Amino acid sequence: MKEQEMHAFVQLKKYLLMQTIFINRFYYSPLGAGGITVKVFGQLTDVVGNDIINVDDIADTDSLIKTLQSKYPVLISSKYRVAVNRNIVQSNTPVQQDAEVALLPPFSGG
Amino acid sequence: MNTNKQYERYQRQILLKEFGVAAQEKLLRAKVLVVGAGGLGCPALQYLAAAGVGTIGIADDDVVSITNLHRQVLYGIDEIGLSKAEIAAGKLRCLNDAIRIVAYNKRLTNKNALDIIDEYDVVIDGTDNFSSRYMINDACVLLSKPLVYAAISKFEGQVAVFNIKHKAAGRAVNYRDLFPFPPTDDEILNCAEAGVLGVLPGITGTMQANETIKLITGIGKTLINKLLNYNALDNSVYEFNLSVNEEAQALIPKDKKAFLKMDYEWLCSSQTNSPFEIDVIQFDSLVEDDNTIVFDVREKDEQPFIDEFEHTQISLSELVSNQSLITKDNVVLFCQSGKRSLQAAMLLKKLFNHKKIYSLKGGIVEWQRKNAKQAVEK
Repeated sequence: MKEQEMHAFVQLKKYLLMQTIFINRFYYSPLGAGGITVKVFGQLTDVVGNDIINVDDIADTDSLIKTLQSKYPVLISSKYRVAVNRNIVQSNTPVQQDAEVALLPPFSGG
Repeated sequence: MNTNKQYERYQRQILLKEFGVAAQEKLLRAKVLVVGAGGLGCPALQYLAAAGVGTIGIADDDVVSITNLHRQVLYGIDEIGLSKAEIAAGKLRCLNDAIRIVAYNKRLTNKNALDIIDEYDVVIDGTDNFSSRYMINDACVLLSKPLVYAAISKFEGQVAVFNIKHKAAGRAVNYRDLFPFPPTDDEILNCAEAGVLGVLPGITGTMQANETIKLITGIGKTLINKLLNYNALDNSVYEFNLSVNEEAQALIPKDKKAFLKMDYEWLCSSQTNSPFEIDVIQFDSLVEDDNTIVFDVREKDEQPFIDEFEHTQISLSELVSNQSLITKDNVVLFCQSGKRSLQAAMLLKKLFNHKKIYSLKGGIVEWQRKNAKQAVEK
């Protein structure tokens, strides 16, 4: 591929990505329909492209993680703990429709 | 002891009816060890010394560098290359000559940690790596010492108080109840990799000093069984409630002998000789191959810019969601230091088992260093 073509290709990819991010933000916006609010912390904000996402039709934390992993595959290899209504959970936990879920990765910086 | 002069120094906090002379005396009798005299340690040390903590230990084996100065506010340009522990100790003695400052110009490891920590009442973790953090946590659990923990990531800082039994909980919560296993170094970026806003460790380290002062004097409420997350971008505060994780308890060494045998560096290091990693020579020959596509997985605008070979800049999260970009059989990834690209390689291998995936070991920094060296030798 010629350099110019490559450049145009990369620009197009960037444009499409921005569109995707915009649509994601709109679709998962906290202003949208009800559901579960998922707040992410630290470097997970880079993975998700935002610090809050809204997800519907989720019964428990395991199914929530599965849904998020298919949307953001980087989460498969990310390390984090899950909190439901600010309590860190130790195993699969039911999630009420108005629950607030948080994903907390470990921080190491000092 | 010149009591009048001491009390004059602390008069403004003794005036607080919740604090008073009794709290001041508790501080003067207290011994606090600060591990890491960096972004978190500097402000914590300054406020603890100013408040009149009677004995302050400073453990750090690092020297001052110019990239430290935007956040490590105890140091100046004249001190670049000098021991952080010793410079910090000197500055604190100027700030308060009525307290005892002990500098440990060495790295706290599992070989010396128990002996040093045993001398103190409270430990402050201001380190910047997981091997130190897990080692300090385990040592504090073994010695039943309160641990005032903090860590930062980009614009966020988190603070917690570990190893203090809460009325409601069965046993004291420690860091392993939150994260039982350490992540490897390549799973999480450190400050050198991810960057940090200078004022953030200033705020977070000051919170550590505040928790320590409350813990010693018994005023207010401390972050026992809680982890507070502060976001400097929007000033939001989020508190997590922590609980005992029985699985985690088994991972802590049972006694001093087991602790000495632990290899914390290994526990947190990325696997050596990872099948994905290639050196600069292998990298250069792969770049020449027509069946190779090269990706720079750093964020855009990250320095240094590379125009010496054809490649596409795309961040890790974009690459995974834009898999159609992977048009060739050999996929070569690079980043700043080789950590993010290794993480990307491991992930891509899961998604494309049939492709050959490589990560440049040491990153573009190592590539530039090797090429600069070759140019000099020619």
